[in-house]
Amino acid sequence: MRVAVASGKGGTGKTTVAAALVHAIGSGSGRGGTEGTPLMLDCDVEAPDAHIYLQPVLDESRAVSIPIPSVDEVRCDLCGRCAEVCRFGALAVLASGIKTFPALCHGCGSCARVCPRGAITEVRRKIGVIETGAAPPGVRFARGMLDVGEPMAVPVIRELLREIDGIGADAPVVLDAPPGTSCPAMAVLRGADYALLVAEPTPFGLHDLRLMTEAVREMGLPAGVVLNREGIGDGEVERFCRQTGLKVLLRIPYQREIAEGLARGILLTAVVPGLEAAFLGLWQRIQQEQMADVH
Amino acid sequence: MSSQEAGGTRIAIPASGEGEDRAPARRFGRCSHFAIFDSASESWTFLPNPARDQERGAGVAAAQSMVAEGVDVVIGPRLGPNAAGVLEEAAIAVVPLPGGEAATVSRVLDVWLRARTREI
Repeated sequence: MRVAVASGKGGTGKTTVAAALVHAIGSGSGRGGTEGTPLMLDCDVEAPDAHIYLQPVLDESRAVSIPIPSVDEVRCDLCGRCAEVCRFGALAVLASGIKTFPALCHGCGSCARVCPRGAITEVRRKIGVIETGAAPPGVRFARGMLDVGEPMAVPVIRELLREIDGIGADAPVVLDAPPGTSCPAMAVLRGADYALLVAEPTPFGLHDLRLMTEAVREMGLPAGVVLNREGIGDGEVERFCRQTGLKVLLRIPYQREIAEGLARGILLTAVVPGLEAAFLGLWQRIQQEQMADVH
Repeated sequence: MSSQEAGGTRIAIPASGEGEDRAPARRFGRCSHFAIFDSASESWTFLPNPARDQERGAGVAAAQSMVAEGVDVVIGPRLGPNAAGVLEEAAIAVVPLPGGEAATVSRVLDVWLRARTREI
């Protein structure tokens, strides 16, 4: 069971919810529950921060790289097909030779494929790293980190999602998605069975929840909502949920002590211990909802 | 691959549309057209920018089309580093747009030609 914790808007509480959820599953499992060892993937590779709440020990890492073209100037006759086929402007043909722009390259390999003289070979370029380890209580943890200055998060996310390979379909996996509804967030949702959408009841929160709802519906992904900072803003987010049939599965109140605790890097369910049972309940509810959607 | 024939200078101005009365574009890579003036034939051609809707790397692709068109001088807005790199390597001169006085591409050209004449 792969649950992506997502939101259109940044700063809504994705990581707060994802970390509390996976921690609750781990605790439940440790107490003899049936949940199984959970896996947490921090997929916000441009700014991973779930480690702040979960305090994992990361003892393994591997580089993520993409293939980029390397042009053999002796073989190249400057025909220009490589630059023509490239959708990303990563190659330019000049009288002096082929100029490549590694930062623009998406690693699709089209240039090497179309080169009639076999002058292009692909070489690897590192763009990030995957780090894996474990966090208490019995949570397997991995995160992706995009190198500073690199523009493409998706290859790092795809590599991170490979951590799920070989895990049973029932094992709990929580994916902390990046904000927004662009490619990185969609790459994470594609790896999920269920989208848990964190929203705050403000006009801005509503705007981005609407976008995200459209996205998950287009993907045919079942979704539910966690209403964070309940008590601020207005009732429009709840109205939207009612109108569109989105269920609000959990409400987190707007409280000063929560904000203070989170700002110190303390896990939500450690700030408000009573919420741990609510998060375990949320996990069970998600499973029911997902089953109901499938059948 | 240069279409430049002997003699003339080819001057390209990123434009907001087709025609010498159109305003110069504010962006190079995603401009609507390139207004290209050939000093040998004293005529304009208007090239739709092939990179206009390219998702990424529009600057490089637009610069590539300048190379393919045999352009010698680009008079335009500030270029990004990728496009500037291509033009520099292709020895295409890049000249900033004149101030507010030049509201159309033909005015931009006039201002540049006058300045060049003065230099000579």
